[in-house]
Amino acid sequence: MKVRFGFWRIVLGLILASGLFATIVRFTRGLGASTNLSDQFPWGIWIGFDILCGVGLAAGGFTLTAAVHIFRIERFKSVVRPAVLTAFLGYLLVVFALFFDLGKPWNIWHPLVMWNPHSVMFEVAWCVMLYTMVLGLEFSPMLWEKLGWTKVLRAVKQITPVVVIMGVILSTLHQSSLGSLFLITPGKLHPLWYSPWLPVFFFLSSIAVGCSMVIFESFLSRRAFKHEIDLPVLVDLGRVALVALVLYAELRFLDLQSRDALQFIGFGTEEGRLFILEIALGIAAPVLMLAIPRIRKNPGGLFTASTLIVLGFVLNRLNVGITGLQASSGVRYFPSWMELAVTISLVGAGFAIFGLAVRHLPVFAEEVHSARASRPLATSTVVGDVPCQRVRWVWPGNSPVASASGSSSPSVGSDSFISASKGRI
Amino acid sequence: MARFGMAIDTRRCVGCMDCVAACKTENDVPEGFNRDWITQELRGRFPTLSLEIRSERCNHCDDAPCVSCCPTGASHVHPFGQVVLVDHEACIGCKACVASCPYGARFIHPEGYADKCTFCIHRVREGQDPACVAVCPTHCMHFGDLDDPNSEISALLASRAHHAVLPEAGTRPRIFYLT
Repeated sequence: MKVRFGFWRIVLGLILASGLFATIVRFTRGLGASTNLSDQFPWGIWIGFDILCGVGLAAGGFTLTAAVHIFRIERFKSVVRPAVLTAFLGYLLVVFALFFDLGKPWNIWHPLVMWNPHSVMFEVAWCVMLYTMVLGLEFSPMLWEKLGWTKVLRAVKQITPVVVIMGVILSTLHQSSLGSLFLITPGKLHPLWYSPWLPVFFFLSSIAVGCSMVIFESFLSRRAFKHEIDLPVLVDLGRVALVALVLYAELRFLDLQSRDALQFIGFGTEEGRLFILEIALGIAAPVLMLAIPRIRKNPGGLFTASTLIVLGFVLNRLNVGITGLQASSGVRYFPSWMELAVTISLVGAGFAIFGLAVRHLPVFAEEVHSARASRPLATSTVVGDVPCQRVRWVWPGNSPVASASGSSSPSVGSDSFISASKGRI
Repeated sequence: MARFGMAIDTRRCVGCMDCVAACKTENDVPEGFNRDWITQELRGRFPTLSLEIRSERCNHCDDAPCVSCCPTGASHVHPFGQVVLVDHEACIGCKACVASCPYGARFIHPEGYADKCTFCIHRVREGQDPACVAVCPTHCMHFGDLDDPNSEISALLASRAHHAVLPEAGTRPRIFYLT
């Protein structure tokens, strides 16, 4: 196979190289030599972005599996797989990032055997571990289908309801416990963000951003892989995000009001400015856009709104994890280039692995399968008795989608997936 | 059961930093880190100014957030005198305790674990005072059992006005400053 060196591959290569260098420095010279962290400011961008945002952006996984497998909203089925893949990758990267941030990373397994159930960090540790395993199970059917291991596939599908319920419980716990994590810093976190409601806020905003991420990446993968998108489904997801976002905004306003913290909003301080940016960008603008049906149903409008929600969410987590803790610490923190290099490498690796998975695994199999099933060439075997979901999709290396080492294959784009996917059950 | 604490006389303390130097020597605290330190607090407006000099360290709080947030129980309350200690082997270096301590008493040791004042438990076990108390040239520091009504520290706290640092944090600190 010929490997092409496109612009983005070179960029990715450079990013990963800098990340590798930073990794070597981190693990040979220590946190002090590689980061701008200090004992006054112990948590930086690796916690604020890699962990808080990584977990939050993975929320599409539990939101959609719950919608489809528990609430039986079948029309969301077509986006479950990309959402689960994103969540699984997100969590793997979170675990990876944890190794960088821990002072003694080789002791990462300690919470397994040394229990302190009073600790929020203990809850976080267990949730990360268990939910990563659950996501692995939820993701695995894509692998078994590709490998054609029907027995394993059938076994995994048998336990899917249990796994999904476990996943919903664990991620509910995990999303909220990341908020609880900052409850241990009363008097340190700025009153614009410190609230006894932090766990609820983290959970609600994760639902909004979970839906937005699915919309966001559906549009991006359409561009990259020429997949057709199921716009009505994404519009519905936009409505879910809207409801979650409005509820979140309402609660945050009431909370600020009840704690007399509205006075801190303003352009006078850095905290006030970043708070206004967070609310305007991540809540006000997307709520307005999504509330107007004409904009919501327009692909451009929907994409813009969901991008804003994601950006606002990232800003919120960075504000909680970094901005809000700065004033009380007495030091200014800005990540060192090595911290940034590791973070950007992880994001880059995430994109690259997502791309590889989409290319080689039946991630968007629902649509593809339906389109293929109408063709005589399709090789499909029914596993079990439910027709669509249980189809074993054999994806040989020479099929147009799989062999396409990029978006260059003309036959992929020409497939009218959207009409076919509407016809499925 | 004993419950160790300290009473520090701010009227006697001159901020000579002997306690800081003694702690570093006694406990082999690596360069750039301190388990105790001197705080100077200037209050009021000229000409009615008052200066308080305090020797500060981990408060070994009765309700220590660092102990409750530690995922592995590495931060623990030792049965001997209810001293708050860190088990270096169990610590994973997640820094939750560093983030949660309202006093900034903890630091991450170059070896990766969280570290802080131990009330020199190794000395106290042998009947000696902690190093900082032992070297204080003005004898401004008193170490003892807060639960024993006959101890020197209990008598001092009963007879003298005193305050703690950041009592509003709700952690019930066990180091008191006599004023």
